[in-house]
Amino acid sequence: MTLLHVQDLSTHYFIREGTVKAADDISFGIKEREAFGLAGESGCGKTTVALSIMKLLPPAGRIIKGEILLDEEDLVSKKEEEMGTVRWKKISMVFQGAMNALNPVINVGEQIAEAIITKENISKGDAWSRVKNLFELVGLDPKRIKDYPHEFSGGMRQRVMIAMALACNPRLVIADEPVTALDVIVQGKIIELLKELQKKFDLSVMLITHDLSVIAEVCNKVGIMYAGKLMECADATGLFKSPRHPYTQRLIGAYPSVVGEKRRLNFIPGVPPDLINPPSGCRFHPRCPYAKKECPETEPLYVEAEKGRFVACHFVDELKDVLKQGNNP
Amino acid sequence: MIKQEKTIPIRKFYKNMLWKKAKSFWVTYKTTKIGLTGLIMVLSFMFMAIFAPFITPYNPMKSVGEPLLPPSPSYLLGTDQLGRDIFSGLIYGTRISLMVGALASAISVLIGTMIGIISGYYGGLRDSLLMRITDTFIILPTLPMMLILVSFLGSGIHVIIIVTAVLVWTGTARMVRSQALSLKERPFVEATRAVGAHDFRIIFRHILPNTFPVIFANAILGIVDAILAEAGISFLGYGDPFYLSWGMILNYAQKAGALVTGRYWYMIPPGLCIMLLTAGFAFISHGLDQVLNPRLRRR
Amino acid sequence: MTSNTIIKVRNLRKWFPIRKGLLSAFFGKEEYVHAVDGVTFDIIKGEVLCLVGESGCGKTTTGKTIIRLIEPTSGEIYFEEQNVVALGKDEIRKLRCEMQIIFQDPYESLDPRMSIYDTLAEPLIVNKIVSTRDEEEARVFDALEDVRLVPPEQFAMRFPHELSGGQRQRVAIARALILQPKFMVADEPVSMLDASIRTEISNLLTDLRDKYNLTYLYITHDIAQARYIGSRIMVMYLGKIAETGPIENVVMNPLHPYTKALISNVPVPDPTVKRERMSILGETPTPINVPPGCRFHPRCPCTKPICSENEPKLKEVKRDRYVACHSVA
Repeated sequence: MTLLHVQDLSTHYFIREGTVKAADDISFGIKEREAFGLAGESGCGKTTVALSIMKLLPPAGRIIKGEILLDEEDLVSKKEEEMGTVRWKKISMVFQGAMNALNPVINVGEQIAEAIITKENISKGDAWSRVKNLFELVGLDPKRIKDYPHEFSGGMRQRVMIAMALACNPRLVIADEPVTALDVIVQGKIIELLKELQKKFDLSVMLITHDLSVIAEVCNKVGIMYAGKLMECADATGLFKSPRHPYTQRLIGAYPSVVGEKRRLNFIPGVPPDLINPPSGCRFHPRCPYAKKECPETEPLYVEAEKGRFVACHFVDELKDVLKQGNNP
Repeated sequence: MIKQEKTIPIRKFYKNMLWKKAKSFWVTYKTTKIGLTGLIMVLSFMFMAIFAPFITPYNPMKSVGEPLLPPSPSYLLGTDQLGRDIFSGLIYGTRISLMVGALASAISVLIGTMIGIISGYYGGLRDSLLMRITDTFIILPTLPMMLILVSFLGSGIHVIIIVTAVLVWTGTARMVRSQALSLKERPFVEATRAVGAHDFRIIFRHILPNTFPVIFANAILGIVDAILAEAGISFLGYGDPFYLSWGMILNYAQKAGALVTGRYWYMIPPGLCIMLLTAGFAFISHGLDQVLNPRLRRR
Repeated sequence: MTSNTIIKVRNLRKWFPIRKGLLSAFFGKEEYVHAVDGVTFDIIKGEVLCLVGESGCGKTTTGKTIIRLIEPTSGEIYFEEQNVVALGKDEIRKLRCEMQIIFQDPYESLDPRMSIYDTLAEPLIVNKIVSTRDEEEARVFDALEDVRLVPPEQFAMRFPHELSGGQRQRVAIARALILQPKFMVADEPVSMLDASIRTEISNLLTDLRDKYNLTYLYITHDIAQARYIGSRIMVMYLGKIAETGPIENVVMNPLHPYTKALISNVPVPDPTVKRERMSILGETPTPINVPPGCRFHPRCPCTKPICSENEPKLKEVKRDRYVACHSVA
């Protein structure tokens, strides 16, 4: 049932100024047909986790420990050549700003067909007919498969990227900020498309975004990251209704909404920490309103606070009621 | 937050800032091997130029010995056909090259920047007009034009400097123009307009400072062009006869048939000097590139 | 004109000529981008009017044209009884002290080579407001304190690249504030910031409005954000106003079909809220060749024959509710 299991994943970037501890001890699982959302503000490490799973880290990045189990196979120990059978065929990714990543001088159909032919041993004719199918699937006119990227709008280019990600029938699609740069109505259409495709193809989706509203719409399980660590992971309803981590509560509380009553939103004073020298102990402690003596001293363990809910906080039990939606100190 | 007892006066702050910036620039520049090499080369020539009277044994313009002598302890590079010491001529020639290079480059950068900024910032008719003038200057063949102008205006060294400057400003103009064009669209320029600044202020306090890297890079390369141009003119015989530049020495060497008669000590050193000096400036420019564009630096 | 109205805009138009090649300039028809195509509205003193719409609808152009950062093609603009369009260059400069703007991109709206002190002192110097260095310093430090960048002496010495996005935006607000304006245009001031910082800046803007009796034209594409900070909302589509009204009313009960679609597509940070997405056909066209009649009719789900012939006028259908639609009586 569990398609992807990440255990204690740590990825660091080695740059001249020091070592950036971009992701530390990340553990979560994605089941089949599940939509998992990885949320957090910019710089918290979510893209790093995605790139680690795909083993597409830039030269300065390295997975220094942990396991990534896809159907019981560990991806961390796989060599680059072996990853060729995994990428795009089992897991594929729609990158951030992907709609600008299309080659402007090659027509879009060719770019997708190229990807298919590289990965699978099928004829050009078969590849192109699959491209036509994919276009229909993502809601694009199949007659336009030979058009160039600049002839499509931003929303349509995003659909092309999604089509490319689905080209080889993967089981897991990682989407990094798929709707961030799009207008509201187009955003809505892409969100609906993702939900529809997920149902149709029994896909698992890992949605990475800083926008909690989008996560609330699409995902059934959510993980909240802060400063390279996973702070909380729970089913979507539980997380939003009764967050168990102070950061989660504050983050949710910072989002205005078009429904419900209007109230003064609180925010989290301070700025996210420098990941070369992260704060000692719990990385959120300098900004946490509930921080006590233990918080800077020891790192909290990532424990199962209740069934299916993991939290990394020293005071997870004590704060249970205080953090319930609506209780702002 | 740490409470400060007294605030640092603004003027001292800026002096500190400038010093810190200069230091950090130097630290980075030092790490570029090519930049350092170039700097050493250019500094050596500058040393030669400044201390010429102390290094050279003779007055380079005076006849001090038998003509066309080979190198010897008293005449390190021998003598030319007029009996002048070639070595002294070489050392003094450094002065000409550096002076022409620096002045011609400075003037051309000045012209180019002015034209580029007005063109880029104001756009419209001014831009079209200035760019067509620039285009005209670009298509003029530089060396023949220089020769024509020098024959009309005389071959004094100041003429050569001005003529060189007037024909090479086009590169700077176009680069500065494109910089100004892109800067003018950036939000901080719009914001400055929104608080009520005049065009003058925007140009001098916002556009120009952000164009300095381009201007500076062009200036350094302009020196190379100017040195080579002067050497070319002098070699062809249009140089200032009252000064002895490297190009002039080559001109005399050619007249004396140095190549044919195998007097390599006469022909090669001036050419070598030209090459090394221009290479030095080119290396400095590479070094600067690496400092200003961190992606070019090797890890 | 009531003494309560600070800005009056009548039939404002801004058309951008499309530059074509040399030949078409002689033989082709002159084409324009109808960015703003006849908008009429009032802004009341002390209110926060949110100008909402998708990209390309003309909201940013409207904001910049009102303060004459962009020259209008035609129409009238009045600031406190003064005819803004008729003013000469010097008089506009004097008016600048009363009307200011905050830009969207915190990374680009500050000159990277100028210290914060210089950036803030520039408006004072340019408008010859202060005569001594001490006065200037005092005003700069006051402005920094207003935007909560304390201690001001420390922040004044910094350069933009040393500050975070949120801090830079605060400097931008301080710069706009230092001239003690009465009216501010805020062009998507928080859209490039993280969620928790957005709330901080929104709250800051609200506090400053209360403190200094400011009036805002708040431009945004985020309706949830608009609802949080605004008192009245104006929805634009393709250069014209579709609907205006008090924000709670419009959000809870939108009348124009476009507004209905917009609001229904806004994701909500609550997974338990199930909403019906109203989908509309196609994509937003470019404002070059505008559809005849009502601009929205090609995509409208309830279009009638009259919609393609007559352009609907903005009519007051209820108290304070103006809608431009034939289907809304």
